[in-house]
Amino acid sequence: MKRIGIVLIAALCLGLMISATVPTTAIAAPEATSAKAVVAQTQTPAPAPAPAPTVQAKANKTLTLGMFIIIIGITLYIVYWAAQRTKTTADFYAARSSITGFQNGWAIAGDYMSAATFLGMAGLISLNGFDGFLYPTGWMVAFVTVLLVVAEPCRNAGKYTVGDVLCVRANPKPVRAAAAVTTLLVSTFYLTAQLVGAGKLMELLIGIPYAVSIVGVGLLIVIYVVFGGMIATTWVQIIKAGLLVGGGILLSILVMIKSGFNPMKFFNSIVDSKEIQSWVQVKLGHVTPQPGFDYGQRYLEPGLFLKNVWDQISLGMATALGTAGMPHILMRFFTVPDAKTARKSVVVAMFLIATFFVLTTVMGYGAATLLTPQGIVAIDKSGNMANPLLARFLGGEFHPLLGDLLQAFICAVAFATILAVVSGLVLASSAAISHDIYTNVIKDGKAEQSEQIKAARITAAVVGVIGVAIAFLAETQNVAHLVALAFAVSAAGVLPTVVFSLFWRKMSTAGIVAGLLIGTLSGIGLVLVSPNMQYPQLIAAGNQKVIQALEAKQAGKVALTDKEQADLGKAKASYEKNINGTSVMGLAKPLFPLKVPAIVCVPLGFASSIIFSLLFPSKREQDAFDELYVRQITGIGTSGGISHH
Amino acid sequence: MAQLDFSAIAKHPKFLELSRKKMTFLVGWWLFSTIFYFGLPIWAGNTNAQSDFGNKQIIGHVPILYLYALAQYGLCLVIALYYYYWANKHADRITEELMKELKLK
Repeated sequence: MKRIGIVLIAALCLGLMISATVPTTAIAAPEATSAKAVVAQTQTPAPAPAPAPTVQAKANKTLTLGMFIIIIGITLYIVYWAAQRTKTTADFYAARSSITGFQNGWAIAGDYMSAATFLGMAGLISLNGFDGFLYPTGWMVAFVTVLLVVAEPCRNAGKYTVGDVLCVRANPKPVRAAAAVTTLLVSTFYLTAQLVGAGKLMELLIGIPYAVSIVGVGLLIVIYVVFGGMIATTWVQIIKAGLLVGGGILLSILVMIKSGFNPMKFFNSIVDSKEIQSWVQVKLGHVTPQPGFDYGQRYLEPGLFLKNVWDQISLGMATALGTAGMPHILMRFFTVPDAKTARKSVVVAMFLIATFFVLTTVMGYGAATLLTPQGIVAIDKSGNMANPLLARFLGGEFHPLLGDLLQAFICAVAFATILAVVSGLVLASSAAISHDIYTNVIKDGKAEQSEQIKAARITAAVVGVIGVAIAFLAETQNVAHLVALAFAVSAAGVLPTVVFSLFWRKMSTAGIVAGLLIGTLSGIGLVLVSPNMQYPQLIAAGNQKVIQALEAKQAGKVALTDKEQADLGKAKASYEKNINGTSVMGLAKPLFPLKVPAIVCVPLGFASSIIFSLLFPSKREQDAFDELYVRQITGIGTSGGISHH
Repeated sequence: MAQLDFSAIAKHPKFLELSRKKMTFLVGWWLFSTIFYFGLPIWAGNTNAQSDFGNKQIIGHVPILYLYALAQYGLCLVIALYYYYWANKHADRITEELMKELKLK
């Protein structure tokens, strides 16, 4: 029955993907030409003294979809293989704790590095130089906390979820409920950002409509998780990490060939690039070059993208501390047999992630020097297309077909990346609902194995469907801040409670619940009143400036150009529409000045955990600390895999 | 599994040694890496003019601040390898000894 189900859904999925291409192939040609035209148009007025190389936006559809289908085929085969091995909850949530350290290291890297890492970071670096490189350092440093503070203790103290770790000595019901709420919120924020990103990416990369990609990706994820559970998810993540690192190495080698593998020559080519120099000049708003200012060098200096130092520190806090509380990352430590293996897996993951992040710099700078920043933004303002375009350019130097092939491969890597990260998130969310809420809160832990695994599968499907529904609603929303929010909430809610539960005798149920809820809610609350939201009155103020400037020009008897006339009309209409409007929270302007709430909500999460534990201490929980502490430090008395469940 | 007396284990000299050594290592290195990391956004945020110290070119065109950012990766990997070596050599050994003395192995 299960097999028939998999085959049916797989066929449906494939059909959906293929059908998406049929009507669009007919218009592929004009689409490509219009893309070229757009590039040509936008490149002419660019301040670059030398014309940027012509770059074509869309990938070769047949090749790319062919690669997608290969990836789908391989992963579905894994799901089929894993489904036969997924019989108990230990299989479903933790792959029987049978994953090796090396495998888990690759899987963590695959779980962690999202499409944003692969495409977004290279884009940010290519457009902003040093600041783009600054961005991922927090994501790297985060793993020191994961390695030193959470990996081994969580392996020793937990079983399937964050809730398991937290309720070892606390009152299970309220703690599990609160942990599940936080897990769901963190995962939903992250999931929404990933899915919306995936939809837009597929549209941009190969022209599959947003709705089709969301449904297609959602369907695949649901198949992976529902049938294959953690075993399939792990292998999808391992394959994805292999593709990602392989693709990164390949592109970087091709870039470095240009500089004869000499880093000095590589940096010289960046600083000496006339296009980069004029790009930086425009970015800094200098109408004419300032004498003595080295614009090429400026690209390797901070401040082109990240302007507010407090926002940077806050973002650093969210990423450096939030990773260690991400439920889908913590869950990976339950898939290995013991703490020693958990340790090894983090070390392997750290090497993979560091390698990839540093290679991203090579790719980002390579894109900037070879394609020019102007050429990259002409295709997509965010710079997300830097890597696929770079692949086409580098491959195309050997043979046009090789360019197509390499770009198709990079698109396929991005696709695999989305699948791997989203399945990890769906699994973590479904575990929070089915294991924490259903089995342990509603059923008092007395549910049968078969009943538990059924609940896990149903919730995984429901979570997938809800994720797709949210992604539909959020298509036009700016979801970029949701990633930072997910990390901030995880740093503020999950991390303090996990750390204090494991290391502080006086931590009590009240402290855990308060830390989780206050950390989570304060993070969300602050974002709702932050500059991330839309403030119509601020938009109106901006419009007013435009109106005043243009009207002053008119008053000076200077005729406005057609474009200026149109701008004036638009500004006036927008002003009328927005002047009396307020944000979602009914505010005229942001109450909280930063985009990332971590700098306030993280200390608040830690403080409330401490204060509530001291206000409402529990003698029983303090007495039980010895057991938990001995267990987490030594692994004595720990369930070492399936045999003890 | 037989019921273990965790309070007794928690007072065992070997356990106390393990706990003390582990906490010193973890807290020390964690604090060091965290302070080292937050130096980056603070320094970068306060580096504005091209003549600022952070923008001083050290190797070819690569500024000192850039090297500091790269050093974050270096430090992470050094900590990873050192902890791996340390834990295998010390923490795991003491744990083994403790388990032998407790006759758990």
